[in-house]
Amino acid sequence: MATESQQNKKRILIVEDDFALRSMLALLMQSLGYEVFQEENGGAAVQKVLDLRPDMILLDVNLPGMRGTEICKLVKSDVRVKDIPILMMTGEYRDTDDKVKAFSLGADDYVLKPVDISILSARVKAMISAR
Amino acid sequence: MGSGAQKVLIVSIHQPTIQEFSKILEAGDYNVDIVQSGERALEKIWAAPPVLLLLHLELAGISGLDVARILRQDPRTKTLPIIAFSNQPNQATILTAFNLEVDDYLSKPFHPEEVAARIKAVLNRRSPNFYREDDVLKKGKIQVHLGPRRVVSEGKEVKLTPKEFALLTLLLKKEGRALARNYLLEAIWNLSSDVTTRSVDMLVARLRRKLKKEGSLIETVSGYGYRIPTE
Repeated sequence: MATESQQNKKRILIVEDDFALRSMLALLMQSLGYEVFQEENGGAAVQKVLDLRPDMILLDVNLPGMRGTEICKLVKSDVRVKDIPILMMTGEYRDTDDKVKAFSLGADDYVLKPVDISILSARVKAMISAR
Repeated sequence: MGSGAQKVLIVSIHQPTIQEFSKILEAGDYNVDIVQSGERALEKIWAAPPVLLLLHLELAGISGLDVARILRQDPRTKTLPIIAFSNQPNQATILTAFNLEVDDYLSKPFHPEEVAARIKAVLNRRSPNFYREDDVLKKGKIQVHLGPRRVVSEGKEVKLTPKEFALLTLLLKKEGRALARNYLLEAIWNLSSDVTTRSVDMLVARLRRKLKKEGSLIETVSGYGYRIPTE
């Protein structure tokens, strides 16, 4: 059974197949006081969102199983979870058209890899508190 | 622009940026208002809040960061969507802006399509029209129609207060997850401290009563809070 302080924490789900980046992000989010869950496979991510009901999702675009863009589209079309903010992380969306596409899929924000840790932390805090 | 268009306030002293943003906003059918100082921005906002503030961080007099700080401390404007921007960005300024809970930050060069997409994303997050007419949460014999904010239990409409509605929808959206009293206080009362967790217990008790038999779907999690369990 979780303690009250654990239960009171906001939950973040990190969906990222790169072990090193995922671990770094997990440590970073834990240091900010969030309860962190991790998933490496895109195909399992949507079910994980439904099981965990997190307060925010950090979502890589290039994932095995299912692409992050598809996951974003599915989450944003499910009334139970569509208001969970999604921050997409990508090394691909350097063109404006692609950035616009990310937003049109329902993403709330995106950052480019390599991620700037300070800016990412600030964006996460801002997005979670806006809920 | 239509007379019923939503008003966006741009605060900047930089004419090329003002023109750039105005063009983007007018193409999106927003009504654009422009001021060139933080002081004037606050006056305008307090008189008639816009739907969105585009805030230049480098202003003479009260800085953009100060404007954001004042707005976030004022209960009337605490949730006003703010997108900050800067012509001379540095990491410290960006971090301070986010710590002040601006919704987004734009840095140069500004790409019109990206700016328009970010504006839309921020307004969508804050929009009362975020849910469609047919967005319904269901559990047992409870149906919560999120668009029109209607609740039906056992076939009959249940009149809920805004806080009762917020509690029920939050428990349903986080189905299966135990939510601590402090979490509920922050989410529903927008408080970060435990002013009185008893308020949560009283609200839950009222909601259970109104839902009658279906009220038993809300479980007390001993020692910390409440949840609606999964099947």
